[in-house]
Amino acid sequence: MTTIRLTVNGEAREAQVDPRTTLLHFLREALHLTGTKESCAEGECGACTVWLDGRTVNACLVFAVEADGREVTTIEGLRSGRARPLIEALAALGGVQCGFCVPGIVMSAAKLLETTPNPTREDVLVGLSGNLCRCTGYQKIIEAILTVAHAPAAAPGGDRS
Amino acid sequence: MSLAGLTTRVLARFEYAAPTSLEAALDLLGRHGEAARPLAGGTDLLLQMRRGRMRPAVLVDLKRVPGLAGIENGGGLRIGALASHADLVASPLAAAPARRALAEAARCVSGPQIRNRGTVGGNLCNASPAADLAPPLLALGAAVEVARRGAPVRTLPAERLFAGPGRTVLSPGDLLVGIALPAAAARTGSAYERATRVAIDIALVGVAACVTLAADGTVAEARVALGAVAPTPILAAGAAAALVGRAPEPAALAAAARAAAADARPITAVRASADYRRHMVEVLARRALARAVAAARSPR
Amino acid sequence: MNESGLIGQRVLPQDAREKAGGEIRYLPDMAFPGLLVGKVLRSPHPHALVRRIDASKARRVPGVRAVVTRENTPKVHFGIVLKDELPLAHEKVRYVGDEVAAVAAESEEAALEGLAAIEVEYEPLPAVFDLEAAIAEEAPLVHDNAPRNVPGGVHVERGDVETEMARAYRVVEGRYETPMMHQAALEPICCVADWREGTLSLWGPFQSPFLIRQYLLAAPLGLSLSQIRLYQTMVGGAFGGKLDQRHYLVCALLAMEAGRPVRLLNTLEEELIATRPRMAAIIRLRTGWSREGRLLAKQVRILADNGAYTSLSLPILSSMSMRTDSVYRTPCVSVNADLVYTNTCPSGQMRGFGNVQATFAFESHLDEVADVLGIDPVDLRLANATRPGDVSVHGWKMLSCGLSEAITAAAERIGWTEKRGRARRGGGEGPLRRGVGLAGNMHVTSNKPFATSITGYDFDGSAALVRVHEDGRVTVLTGEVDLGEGVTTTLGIIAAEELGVPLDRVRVANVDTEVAPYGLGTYASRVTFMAGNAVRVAAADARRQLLEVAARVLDAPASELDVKDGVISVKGFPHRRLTVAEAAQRGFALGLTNVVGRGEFHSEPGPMDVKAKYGNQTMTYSFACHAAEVEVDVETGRVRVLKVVAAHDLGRVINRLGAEGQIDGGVTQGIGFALVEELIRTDGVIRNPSFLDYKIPSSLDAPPVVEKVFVETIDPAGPHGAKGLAETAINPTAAAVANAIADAIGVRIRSVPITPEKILGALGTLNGGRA
Repeated sequence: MTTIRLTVNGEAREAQVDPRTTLLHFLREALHLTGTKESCAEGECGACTVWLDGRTVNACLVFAVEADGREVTTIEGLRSGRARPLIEALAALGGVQCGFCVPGIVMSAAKLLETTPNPTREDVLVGLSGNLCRCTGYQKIIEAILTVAHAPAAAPGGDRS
Repeated sequence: MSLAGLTTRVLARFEYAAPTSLEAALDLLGRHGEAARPLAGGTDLLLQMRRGRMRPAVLVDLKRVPGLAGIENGGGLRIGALASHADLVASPLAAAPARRALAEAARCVSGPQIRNRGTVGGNLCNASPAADLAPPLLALGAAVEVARRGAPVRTLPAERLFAGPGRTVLSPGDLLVGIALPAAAARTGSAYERATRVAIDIALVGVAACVTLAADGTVAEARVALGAVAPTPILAAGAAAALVGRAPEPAALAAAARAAAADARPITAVRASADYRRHMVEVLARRALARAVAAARSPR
Repeated sequence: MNESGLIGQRVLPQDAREKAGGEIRYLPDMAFPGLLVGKVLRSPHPHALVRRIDASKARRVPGVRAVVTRENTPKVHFGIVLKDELPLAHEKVRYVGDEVAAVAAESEEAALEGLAAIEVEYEPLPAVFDLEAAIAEEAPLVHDNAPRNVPGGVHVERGDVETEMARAYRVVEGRYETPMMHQAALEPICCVADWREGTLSLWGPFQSPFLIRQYLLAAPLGLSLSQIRLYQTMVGGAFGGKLDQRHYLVCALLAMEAGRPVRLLNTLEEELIATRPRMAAIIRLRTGWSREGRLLAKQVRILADNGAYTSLSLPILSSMSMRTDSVYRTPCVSVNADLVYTNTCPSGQMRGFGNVQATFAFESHLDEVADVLGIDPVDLRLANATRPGDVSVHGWKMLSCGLSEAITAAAERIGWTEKRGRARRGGGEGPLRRGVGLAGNMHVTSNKPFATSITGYDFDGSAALVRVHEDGRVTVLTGEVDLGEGVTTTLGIIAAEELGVPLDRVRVANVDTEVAPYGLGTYASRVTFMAGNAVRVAAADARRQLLEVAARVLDAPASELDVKDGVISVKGFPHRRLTVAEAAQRGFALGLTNVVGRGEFHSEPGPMDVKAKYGNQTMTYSFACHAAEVEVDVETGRVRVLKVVAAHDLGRVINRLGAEGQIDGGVTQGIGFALVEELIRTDGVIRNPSFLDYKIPSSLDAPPVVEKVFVETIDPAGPHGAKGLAETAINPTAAAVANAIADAIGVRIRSVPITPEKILGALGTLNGGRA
């Protein structure tokens, strides 16, 4: 077991971990941050996307020990703040069906909007390309992200909510 | 015993070390020899470990070693082994016409999450025949810098790094610390082309071309490198020979592309057949050469 | 119809925000005290005798709490359709991945050590993989009781096909092939089982809790139904994959052995090698046509790959064999379809249920016919399209049908007249060729013969309870499941509309088999139609009860009352009012009623001759036409889908947002099927059991434009006129893409996925020009 100290969603954490533990399992099982999902466990689907020192990574391909001294941000750290408009838009514009991939998509999209405030459709496609979704065909997810990017002040809404 | 379906999240036990100096990293690698494995981005290593194909006893995390991650211009271009694909994509140095193949290849590597994490050194040291960065590095004449405990850093041409699928010529204790590209001659352009099944995919075929034009517009130097069509990434010597001294006209490029296809030694596997791969070498070599020539002609 | 205006709007699904923010818990996110980790030992052989199993060492591994093998589990044959499965292998294993044993332990590591300590001696047997080889007389048998490896099939003769063929102006033949495609839901198949005090509880994303309970748990375990309680958790995608799995039973066996809750969670590799993907098939078509382009006769011959166990493959084969016969007027048809056992992963249901394969074949074939006859493919389809009121060759009655309108709309919106045949007219820049194609399709909105074949009852229906709480909120209970597509939102809209309460006060609950009314589950595009009708009746019943209370309180006849926005008032006297919450409270205060509305809907499509497979399947059918524009690089064989127009007769749009989303998703899955998705098998071993090599479309592969056109035929039997949509959304896409590719390159590819390699092969580009 190894001791790690890291910041998760702005909060200092210290824990004993087996070096074999992935960051994903550490977050889900030790910290109970289950918003980050596990699907393929091979870095292809992006359901486990988190930010590590401000960059998106697949938490299934990072050992928890590698995050020692680093800053980790998960969906739980963004959902009430910076990612709120994205979450609202994804919900209102039909970007959420089964929803299993969506927290990971929110993490990728929030980073995209931070680094590319005025994204083109192509930027969004590339920004999402590490996140697989089987339900939506991506159309409404793309629309939601572009909507948030280009009308940050206006709250998107359906006819009813 | 074969256990079908048992790709697992439970890995064999290992010791994790995170040295904070190059000396310490080399010392660990030297001491543990074959039992140790450097850990860079881990995007491939973790998969290999999960599939039981690799069982290192010691993982030496390189990410706390200072100075391994930069991309710097100094005559040529020096890329630290720990520079990520995303670093390469973002670097204006890799976007110059002479280096563009490299940025294009880095952009092809998987999605943003993998590009943020995966490293140039890791991409080479995995020695996948399909590694996207290998063809451009070969075509751009890269040399890799190898360090080991108690020895001076040695360099070898990138094309000599690979020994076979998943194998490099590096010995236990060796560490690839950087990649050096020679200064680009004037009127040099490069490009990378690949074939895949879907947008995010391992290359079925990757072709990088680098062309330097003489003042009279003929080809002064050309290098074409191929991925996924031989046990290792290879230089297509025939393609280069077919071009040098010629005007880079469509017929000459097509002849060079045919020569590249002749240099390929593809096999049929799950991802594609040998025939398809060989055909694609020709098509993609022609396209890569044409774009490299256009880049060479473009104003700096 | 007096509607409030809620029907047809864009309504975001309940829980959408909570899902996007990661607040909703799926099964893998849920904690259970004392939970053990289960792992399954699978056969490494495609076909072998199991000589010996010794689990004694495994039981001594520290942390291992239960081991199940053939020695301590029932040898009861079971299966939803054919009883050809055992809980765990006894004499034989039949595919690579077949369940042999399972372990439950305190940790995954201990479970894996336990698996590794189980000694199994196999004696490999000759195996069969190829469909045509498997039906040969001398082929090894996968199951001894199925001669020629054929456990069943579909054999239907309607009319004199050969006579019609003989008088046909042209007869066209084609052989089409489709692969195993995986559902690839992002949430893996998983469940938690717990056995205590004589009750077996399971939690999981079950696609049909009641069918799973009865046929996949109670039957093999010998338990009575009420001893088993299933709690449906939020479903992270299913597409057919979360119904018929042996997974749940194995988990239950472990829990019963361990006396502790056990979780079983597939790895992606397990998903891809052993969880019943879409059935691969070889479909041969022969059709006869009049000079004017009327379909005279059709002959269908199918070999379908059952894999090692039958699962739902027989009804899937029925769908594959017969469904296209009712899309176009088919005067006579001869069907000979065989289901074939092979030593590969059992196939099963995936969105489309055989119709995706059949539609690819038949709609590709139609374009080939159009070429032969020199008729425009749109005209050919319109000339033969089924129309409202038609009774098809199999006795299916078209209560409403907007197929012709859908074809016309799709053709118009894709730019058919300008774009069709461009490449053949010399259009195209460099190596790029563009083409357009389209394909029609129909699907059931429930499947009575299927339901009847499973339950043995002459029944296909749905039931609902609508409970009005004392605070005016409403809970809708049904036995059907939202797989993520948002059908609970649709049901909520129907309930809110009927009751006159705001939608945000209505919640549709996940299924708990102890509480929910019986339901067959989510398949056959049935829930909007069936449960929608049941919910409507239940909500009307609840409304009647509310009005009865209000009538007493407000001292006005119920017929003079109206409910709007959660308020009951006397018509013309808005101040004489009572909220729904107050009415619910007063209901029992006055000793009148505890407001629970009850509704049932029974599908009554008419008599069915089961043996002849003749008779109406469902009360109504949905129709669609997809048109695609593609760009093909003729040097690389790479295809880009530029645009898809999806025109759908779905009866009536209930939730526009949900309907559009279903189509977007179906189209993209259809493109995956058309261009890339295939479980590649060599000697029974799946060679690409990972997302690195089983590729599904990403954002970069989705078409830039998916245009949706709704043809609202307002079905007389549907709730507010609605029919199903789930499967028409995927069925025609691959054929439309295939037809567009043929238009672009002038060569027909008759097997999916249409890979670059197949395109170059067909163009004669590979091998220095040899085709």
